[in-house]
Amino acid sequence: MPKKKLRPPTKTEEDQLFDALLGPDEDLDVESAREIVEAYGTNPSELVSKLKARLDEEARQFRLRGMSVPPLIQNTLQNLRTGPAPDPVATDPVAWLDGLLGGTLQLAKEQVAYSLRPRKPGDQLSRNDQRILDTLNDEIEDEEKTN
Amino acid sequence: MPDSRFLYINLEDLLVRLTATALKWFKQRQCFKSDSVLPGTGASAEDLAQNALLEILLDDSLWKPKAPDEDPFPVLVTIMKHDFLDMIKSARYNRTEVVDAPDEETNKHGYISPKAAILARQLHSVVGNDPALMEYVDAVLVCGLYKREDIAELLGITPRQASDRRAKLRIKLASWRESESPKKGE
Repeated sequence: MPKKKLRPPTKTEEDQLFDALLGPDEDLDVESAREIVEAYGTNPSELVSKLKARLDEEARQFRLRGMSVPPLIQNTLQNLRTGPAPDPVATDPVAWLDGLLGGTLQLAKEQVAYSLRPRKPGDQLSRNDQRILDTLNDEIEDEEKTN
Repeated sequence: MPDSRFLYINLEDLLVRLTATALKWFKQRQCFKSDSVLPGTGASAEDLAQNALLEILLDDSLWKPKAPDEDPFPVLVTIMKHDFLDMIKSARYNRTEVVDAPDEETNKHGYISPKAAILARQLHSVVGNDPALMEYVDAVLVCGLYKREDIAELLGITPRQASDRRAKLRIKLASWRESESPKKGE
């Protein structure tokens, strides 16, 4: 999949109007989502059943081809069968550290740490300082997007 | 080394949020039920949500969480949105404009654009008997306010109350679409 697919697409005027009227997608909480889905006549547990059936079929296809089932599909199926596992930071810190060291988990997002020369309140940064900070910020963001 | 991603997430909550988000986009395209397909694509809101999740499960480079219980919802919404845009750009999807707003309607009521006029026509029939929702809709479509805080200030309410009206509108719209849509087999 192209990495650009991980960047949010530009919103159209219609998208912006809908966001203003109904709220941005990223702000949708579980309770509201549940009410919306149920208003459409869909039972949330049906959604889960359908996902499980689809993943079971995906796993079956992998096995039929003599391939191992991808770990994330195995994990998701396990989760669907037994429910979400308890927080590993509290219950299994070793596995959590393994994830960090193995690269499947990442530490907090890198960002520019601002250390500016003292200025009077209300002073603006010089254009050169601002350009340097913007460049550094862009470099870090680009690096994160390519990783 | 075991991979623990997707072991700690409440999948029902995640799936419900994804499906509700997809339903919002389908609503923009005049699809009224969670399992009704986008014309010419054969895909429903439920399919769109499942497909995005499957993409991330099959390509483990797409989501590397910073904590075991990190919410994959934002990245899934982005993937889903790209899939949705690809679908509506596809040659198989021939969108029929069901409604059209003439310029005079836009000008007469002072809507900010023809698109706003089309939306107003649809939404006023939904919220017509609810003055609070009506003024909320007009704050966006007539006054051109997009931020919750700006809308709240115009209406003389708190941002929290503005959010409540927005939530009420979401539910009302979802319910209305369901009741107004043609039943299967009709």
